Amino acid sequence: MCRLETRNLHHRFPDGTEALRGVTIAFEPGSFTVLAGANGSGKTVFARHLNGLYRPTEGEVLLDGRSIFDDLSAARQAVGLVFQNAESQFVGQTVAQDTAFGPENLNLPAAEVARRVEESLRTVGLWERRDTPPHSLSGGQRRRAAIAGVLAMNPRVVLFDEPFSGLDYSGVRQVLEQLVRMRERGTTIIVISHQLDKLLAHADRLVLFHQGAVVADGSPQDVAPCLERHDVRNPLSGGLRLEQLSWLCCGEDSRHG
Amino acid sequence: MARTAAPALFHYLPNDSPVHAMDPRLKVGCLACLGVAAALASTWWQFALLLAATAGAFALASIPSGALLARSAPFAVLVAVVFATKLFVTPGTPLPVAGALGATVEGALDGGAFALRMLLVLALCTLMMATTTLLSLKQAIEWLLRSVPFVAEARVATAVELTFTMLPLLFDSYREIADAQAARCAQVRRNPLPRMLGLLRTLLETTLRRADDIVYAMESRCYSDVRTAPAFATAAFDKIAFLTAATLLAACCLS
Ligand SMILES: Nc1ncnc2c1ncn2[C@@H]1O[C@H](COP(=O)(O)OP(=O)(O)OP(=O)(O)O)[C@@H](O)[C@H]1O
Ligand SMILES: [Mg+2]
Repeated sequence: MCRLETRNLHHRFPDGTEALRGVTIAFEPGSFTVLAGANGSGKTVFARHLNGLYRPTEGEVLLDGRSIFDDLSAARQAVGLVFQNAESQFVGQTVAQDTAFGPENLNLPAAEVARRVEESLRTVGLWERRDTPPHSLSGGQRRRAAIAGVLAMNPRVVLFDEPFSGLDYSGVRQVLEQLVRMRERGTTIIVISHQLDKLLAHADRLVLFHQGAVVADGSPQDVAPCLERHDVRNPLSGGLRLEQLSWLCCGEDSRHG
Repeated sequence: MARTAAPALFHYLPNDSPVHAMDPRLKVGCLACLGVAAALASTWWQFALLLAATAGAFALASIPSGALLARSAPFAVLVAVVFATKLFVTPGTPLPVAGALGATVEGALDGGAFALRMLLVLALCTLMMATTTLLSLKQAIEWLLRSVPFVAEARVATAVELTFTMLPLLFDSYREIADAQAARCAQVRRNPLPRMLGLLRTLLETTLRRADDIVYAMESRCYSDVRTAPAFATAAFDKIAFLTAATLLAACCLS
């Protein structure tokens, strides 16, 4: 069980910007949710709240019914965050050292840290590159290295902030495959993205942000028609069916209906 | 983006050598011994011993010393300037060859010793950075600071590690910002001062934002001072190396 929810979440920055205006939303265990919205609609701020990086001006974030600030370390372990800018996430000199950062912070025994590093790097297919400096990886590999760093914490919910920005076709597929595979293992997935065409075939829920508030929330088919009204392109507008959108050739295998 | 392919000064150069594999605590100990020894050395045989030891360490580490040497050219100029200054400024017996210009025997000896010290320290630091990952350096610093009271050793060590991680990024952003400004014809302005100030301000903002991002990234992965303890392994080679460095230090204390 790992139910993540927010209640009436408000966030006001010191300069007066109202980034969130009363967001109430719950993520069921094992679900795959896509958060969409125009630039500046508050998606990144919302993601940082789910990870306890910001303190709400008003409202609260709950994990299994308890405020995440009751045990912040446990909450951050349970809810992993892959940052919008993968570059800024690296704290280690090599891929392996960076992946070990989280488990080491949990003060796990060295053998367990090593086991988790190997497991996470194998999962994302970067075990062979473990001694490479993260900054010399390609864009897609960098994004996967960032994912490995989060996976090593054994999170039950993983939040991705713009996982596809700047990636080419193969980079997008590499990351998308990770998302689908994690979801198959029962991890709750929340993805923030402007690139709905790549995601909607795999998602079971689409939430639309506009100026810091949720303006639509439901299945991708139901919410898609509202997208254009809020400055987001509707990938289904050309008469395409949802299933036709998948970027993975084996979309049938990876989709759950 | 073009990242330097040639070995850069003060960069880690991975290799399978006993110097690379050394227990970082003893390596830091060796560096300290040899550094102090270089500062104390005054006779020719002391310098000869230290130079031989440093050359031996480079050979054992089998890193491309030639390329590193080429990279140190700017430092060589600095050393030469210091030597020349000492040579002509120190009063004493005029040198037989260039005495008329004011060069003195004392100046040559003094300047030579100073230049040798600088070279030794530079070479030792280069070797240290080339053969030690930041993580093990950090762990060594943490271990060594543990016995110093009132110092949060984990914080200091993390700060040191982050500083060194951030430095190359800082240079990258500098280049990026400078290029971006050049692309918008910033160099056409007649007075370069506003352009420089603009560049500095942007660089500072970018750096602070990056530092901010790193802090968030560390927090989100539960950054804590109580971390999995590093496993140090001390080989026989490490102990011999440290004993050698300590002996050299003792030898340089004699005069
Ligand atoms: N540190 C900050 N100080 C002040 N205002 C901020 C800060 N960070 C974000 N904002 C503001 O909060 C609002 C929401 O920003 P946020 O980054 O969450 O947008 P977003 O939906 O993630 O946009 P994008 O799609 O461009 O990533 C914006 O108006 C932004 O200007
Ligand atoms: Mg954002």
